[in-house]
Amino acid sequence: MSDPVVTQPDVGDEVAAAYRDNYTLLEYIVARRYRVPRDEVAGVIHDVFIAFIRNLPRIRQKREWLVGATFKECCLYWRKRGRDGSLCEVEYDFDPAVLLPDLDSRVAVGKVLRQLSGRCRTLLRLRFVEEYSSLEIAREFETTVDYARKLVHRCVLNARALVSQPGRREP
Amino acid sequence: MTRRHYTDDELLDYIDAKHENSADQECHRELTDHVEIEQCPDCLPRLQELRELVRGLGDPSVYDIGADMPLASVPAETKILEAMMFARRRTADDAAAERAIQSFERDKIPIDEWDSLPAAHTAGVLRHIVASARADYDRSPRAALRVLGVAAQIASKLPSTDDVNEQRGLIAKAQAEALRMLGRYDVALERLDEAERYLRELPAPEYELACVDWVRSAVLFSVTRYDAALGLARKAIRAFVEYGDRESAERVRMVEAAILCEQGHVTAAHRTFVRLVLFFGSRDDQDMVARLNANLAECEVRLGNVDVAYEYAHDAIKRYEALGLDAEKIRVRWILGHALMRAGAFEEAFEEIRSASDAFAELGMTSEEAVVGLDLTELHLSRAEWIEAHALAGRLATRFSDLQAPVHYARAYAYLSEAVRGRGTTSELLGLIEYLREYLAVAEVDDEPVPFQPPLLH
Repeated sequence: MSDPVVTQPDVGDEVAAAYRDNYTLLEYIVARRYRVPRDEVAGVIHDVFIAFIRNLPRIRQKREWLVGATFKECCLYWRKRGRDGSLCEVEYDFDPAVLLPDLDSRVAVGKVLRQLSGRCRTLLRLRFVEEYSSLEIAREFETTVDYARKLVHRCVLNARALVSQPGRREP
Repeated sequence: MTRRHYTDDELLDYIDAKHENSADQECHRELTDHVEIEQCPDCLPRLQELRELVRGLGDPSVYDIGADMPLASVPAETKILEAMMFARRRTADDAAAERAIQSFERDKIPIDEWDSLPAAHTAGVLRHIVASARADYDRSPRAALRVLGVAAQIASKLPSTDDVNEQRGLIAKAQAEALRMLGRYDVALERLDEAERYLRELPAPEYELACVDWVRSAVLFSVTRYDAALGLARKAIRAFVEYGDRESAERVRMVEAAILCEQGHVTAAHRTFVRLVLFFGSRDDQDMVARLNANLAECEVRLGNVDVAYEYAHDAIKRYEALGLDAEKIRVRWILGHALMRAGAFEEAFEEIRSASDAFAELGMTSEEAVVGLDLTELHLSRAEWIEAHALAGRLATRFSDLQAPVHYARAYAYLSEAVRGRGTTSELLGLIEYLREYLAVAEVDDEPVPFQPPLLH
């Protein structure tokens, strides 16, 4: 009986897959968490991937490593520009294994928001970021408190439906 | 009475109570004709899912994404291609290096001549040399150092600046590790500075720099600069945790515990070592378990539990034997010798320590040999063997002089030999040995070797 042919996985394909699979997440960290200017985001992420390739034989948890390296690289980016501390202290002493589910969920919510109507986005931002009460939303949208509450609920439930079915458009 | 489940709207009302002002909260109490939310297998998962979503919706950064970024952000194909080519080039380099090295070895070309071979001027060959040198630290740190010297010469001739920086940085770090094994701590620290300088030039170098901090911490520990060593060890641990590299973090934690032990926090160190034995045991890492058992033996000695120390030490020796790690096996025997000396078993202690001394000499580990020699002299003095102590110290002074070891080794032993011949009191001579131990530990930290100064007489 002949031995089955064992093909080694191609390192280039492995790197390309890691690049594609993690880019959105890393972009979120660089552009949104650390507010690196838009035209430099891709460069920062690329540097992280070059370091990833250099250290590939030692890396066991690839996703965690990429997230950790991105946080560090963002700190370094701002440190080089004289903004030491303020941005990095927030994330000081983090554990990417703990942070990853939260980051993934943020990226997913961000994608979903894009699919919602502009009105829903505004309502959700006022309610959950600006912490408007139902009364304040009712005033803003010139409606009743009960209806304002219903509007917010409908937007949240639409968002939930999109999270669980990513391809679906807002009902 | 049948109680019904919460609808999604009712669950959102329930969550809303946290957001609303106090007047509104009146409307959002748990509903009396419903099941208890936190106990209900139907309502609770839906409540948790909605809470998680609402938490995400409360983060302003997700709105930035929604507003400014494309729905599915994708990297530029050119960037992906660049990364793929970089990864493939490294793999191809490594494969070519293996073939080249096989041919050098087939043609019996000594490594010192590789610098003159164009086929050896690749990063792949250098990675191969560094990996073999690292495997050789334990058996032959001098040979490792010689090979790394050749690698450093080749590295400067690489065509790509990034390759030069990466390879020079990694070679300098590897040299520092070999120098630490040889007890040449001052040069090891210089090499680490050099490694850091080169690696800093690379894109995103923080992971490699954490590895440099790790080695620097170990060197500073060896020269008893415990506070500095502890700070660096903790910095490296934090960095590795941040990279999700738990294994490296736990390895540095062993250095941290060893430092704590030297600082007198023996119980805390012991606790960490025991925890680490479980961690590395679960990964079947015999080398680490052996190291940790050797450290536990030392802790037990300090805690006065000599019998338990024996057990740990023997376990470590057995594992090192199985792994073929001779220098480490010798170090454990040395630790065991200390345990026996403290327990008053001088005969057995002498056997263990003398065999450690001979073995260190055979491996060319001069610094260790010098310190072990002090232990042997102390043992002779403890047994009032003045002639033997004098002869041993004199023999070591000559040996270090012949070896062209750092000059202070020979001077220190010559002074000790004379002091023993002059028959000071035992306590004076034991005090002198302690003084010499401290001197040998710090004599090579500074840029220039610290000249030997006899202790002040009281």
